[in-house]
Amino acid sequence: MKVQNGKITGGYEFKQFLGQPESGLVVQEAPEYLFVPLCSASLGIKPLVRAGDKVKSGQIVWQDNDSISSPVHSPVNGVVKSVQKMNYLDDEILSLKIESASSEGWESVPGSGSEWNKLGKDEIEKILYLSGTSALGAEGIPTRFRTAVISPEEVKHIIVHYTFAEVYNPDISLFLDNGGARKFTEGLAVLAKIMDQAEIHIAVGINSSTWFQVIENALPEDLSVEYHRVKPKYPQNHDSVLLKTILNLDLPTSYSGMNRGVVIIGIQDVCQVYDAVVTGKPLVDRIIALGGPGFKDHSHRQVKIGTTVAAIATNNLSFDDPEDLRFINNSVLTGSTLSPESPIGRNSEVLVALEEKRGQELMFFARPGFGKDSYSNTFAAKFLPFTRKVSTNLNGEVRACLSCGFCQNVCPGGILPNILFPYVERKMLDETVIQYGIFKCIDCNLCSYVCPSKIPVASHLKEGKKELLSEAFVSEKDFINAYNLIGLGEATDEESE
Amino acid sequence: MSDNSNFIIETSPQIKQSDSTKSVMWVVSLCLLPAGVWGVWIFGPRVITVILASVISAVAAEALMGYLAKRNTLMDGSAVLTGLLISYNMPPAIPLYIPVVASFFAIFVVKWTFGGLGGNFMNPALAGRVFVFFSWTGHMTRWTMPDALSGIDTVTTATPLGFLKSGLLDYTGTAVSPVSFLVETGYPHSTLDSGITAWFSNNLGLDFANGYVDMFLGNIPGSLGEVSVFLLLIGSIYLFARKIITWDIPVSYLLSFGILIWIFGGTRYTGGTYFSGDVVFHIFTGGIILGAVYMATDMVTSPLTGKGRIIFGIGLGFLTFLIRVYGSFPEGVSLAIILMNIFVPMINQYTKPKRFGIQIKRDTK
Repeated sequence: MKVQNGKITGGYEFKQFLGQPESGLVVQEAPEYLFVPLCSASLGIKPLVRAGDKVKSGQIVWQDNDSISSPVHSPVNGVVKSVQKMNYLDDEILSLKIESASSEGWESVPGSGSEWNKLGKDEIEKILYLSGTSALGAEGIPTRFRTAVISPEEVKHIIVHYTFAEVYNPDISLFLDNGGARKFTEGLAVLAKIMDQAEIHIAVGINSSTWFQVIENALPEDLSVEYHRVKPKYPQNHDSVLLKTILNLDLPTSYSGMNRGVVIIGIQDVCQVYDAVVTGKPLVDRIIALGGPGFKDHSHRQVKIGTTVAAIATNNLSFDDPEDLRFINNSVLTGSTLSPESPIGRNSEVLVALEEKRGQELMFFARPGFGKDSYSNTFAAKFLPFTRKVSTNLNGEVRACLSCGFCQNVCPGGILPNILFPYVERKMLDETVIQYGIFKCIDCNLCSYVCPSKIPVASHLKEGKKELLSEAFVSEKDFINAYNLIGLGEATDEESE
Repeated sequence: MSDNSNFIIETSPQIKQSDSTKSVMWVVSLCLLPAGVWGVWIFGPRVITVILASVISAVAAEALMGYLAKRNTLMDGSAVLTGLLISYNMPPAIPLYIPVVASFFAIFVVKWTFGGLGGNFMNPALAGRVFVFFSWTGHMTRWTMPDALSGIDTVTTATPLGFLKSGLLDYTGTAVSPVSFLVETGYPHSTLDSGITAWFSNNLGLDFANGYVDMFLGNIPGSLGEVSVFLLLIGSIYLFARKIITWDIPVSYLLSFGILIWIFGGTRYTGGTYFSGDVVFHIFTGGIILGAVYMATDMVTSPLTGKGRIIFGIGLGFLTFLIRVYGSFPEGVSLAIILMNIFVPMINQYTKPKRFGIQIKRDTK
């Protein structure tokens, strides 16, 4: 077994944060009402069921063959109450309100079974599509049913990652212990069969690389895998950083690994692929890690998709008033805020609850700050046994840029955010900004995180990129030509016709 | 209560680290404090009034400008730090109006005419110091003997560097190094210095001339905050550990300065040769440690990239060496730093990372 070491430039290691998810799994009963996210409201495709219809667990309730999508299933047995619009993850979506009667069992996906090896590629792809598991991963799993922007033949690499780069990370042992590794590797074999041109890479954070041996032992003989030990530094889990550290491929901003023929997927996703193909289980639930000081109990929850945040948080908060808390989906650095009524979606992995701290602490600048994460303390904190508590407080006021260079030190794109953001602020957007590498920004938001002057650097950069694209200083074509991108040509041609 | 919304973040990233401009300024001021306390200890309680005069006037100037610009910048702590650094660059017996003028010049002219904190191209404290240095050169070069040495000369004296500079003009003796020159011409040293030097000689077999220990601990005449190399270094260790300052400027500054002194420092003496300069003497005297650690590393006025900062440091080392050894002033740190501050935009221009990203090919008709 050969293990390669991935090198990330810049980045930041979140260490010793209070409220880490703990191992241990609690199966959460389905609440009375579930809100199943269907699709973006602008897409406007109606579900296959109407209010008042009875649905069974695992029954397909939404499907669209024209757009890039995968079917959605009812997670429980129950009755459809309504189809409603709701705000979810910074988008307006259509969702299905289902009254749950029981959450027992599910309708098995036709064609599945342990003899999957004898099935043809088309049959396996059909199982993935009908089970909804083709929606997993950063950008979906490519099948012949338009579940991703590229086709399975175009996939050159599959990266399975578990990098421990975020502030709160799920526990890897839940998926690999107790025979889990067997399921995981068989799931990998399924993916390898449908994407037969692809090399498989497994990237795991340095502190968990002992799992490589566990995976290697469970690996089927005809499957070869490359192992990569990566630093548990944020944003190692971002597409462009994974591509750079593992495959040495460049990826411009706002494009996904898929555009260079790389499927990026998590370990839980691969396990769910196994479940779908071997046991016929459609995508009806997810294992969610609970992180952040807002939760009392941090063990993982197996929840039905569509379970609301409020249902998960009931009796598990360290604050009496949920108004004092903020719930965040997946990542505190890039994730969106969830309201208590928001559901858990198919790509949720971590639910974070942080204290909503308003106002300023008295003389906060004069405190040594051992209980908080500070950029300048990272070196010294290695030797100190303090855990750190985070809240949504800004920890200071917005002030002028000092050119302290914190942002350029952590920038994984190797650009100088402190030079670029004033250009955007003053609306001086032209080719100079492009040449200084604004499109190397991968929206990891680290610059905003470390800025001691509390300037929203990352938002400025994001806005600048948007302006540049809308003012046609750069076009999609420039990126496609410069980086050899795939999965985009079709879309742009259609637009121009 | 509605103002509270200023203190929480509404979009991702949903959390922020706890360093702030304020805490950075606070930590630097804190690290400077021991050296100031030492100044009070050896030059007498009058030093407190000098420190207070500069800090209070700097804060008052900042408050006035903030009021005129309708920006509340008083609390960011940068004015306190500027005032503190100005006072550390003053002789202990300075008339109080001089640090006040220096503070007002620093805040009004150097900082606010360029837009306040973050906009100035020159270190305000040093520019203020240089301004008053050329305006009241007499007062700015009248030094007081520390209490430990004052049995010998009570009123005024010269710093070791000033003594050396004027002494070497018509010197015909045999000394070939600054310390042997000082010893020969009877420059005083404390009993503590003799004691420690003798201890090193007897117990560790390390022989060095009298005077080094005084210079290291700060038992020499000089600006009130610059004399104690020892306490300034202690503060700087904390700054390094906290990563408030990075190694590149201090190291490249001291290294290039040291190398140049080693090569050329000896040639100023009758019969002196190349490669015989006394590096330790030059690093322990004058304001080079205060300058290299606390003033050249000022985030606002130093280059952006690591490479740029090393060039900046080498430039500082060269200029300081040039002024000290061949110039007419005994001391060149403040002039070197503000001169290099002027070059910072140019250094930035040439050391920005390679241009990369997409190559846009356009038809130019």
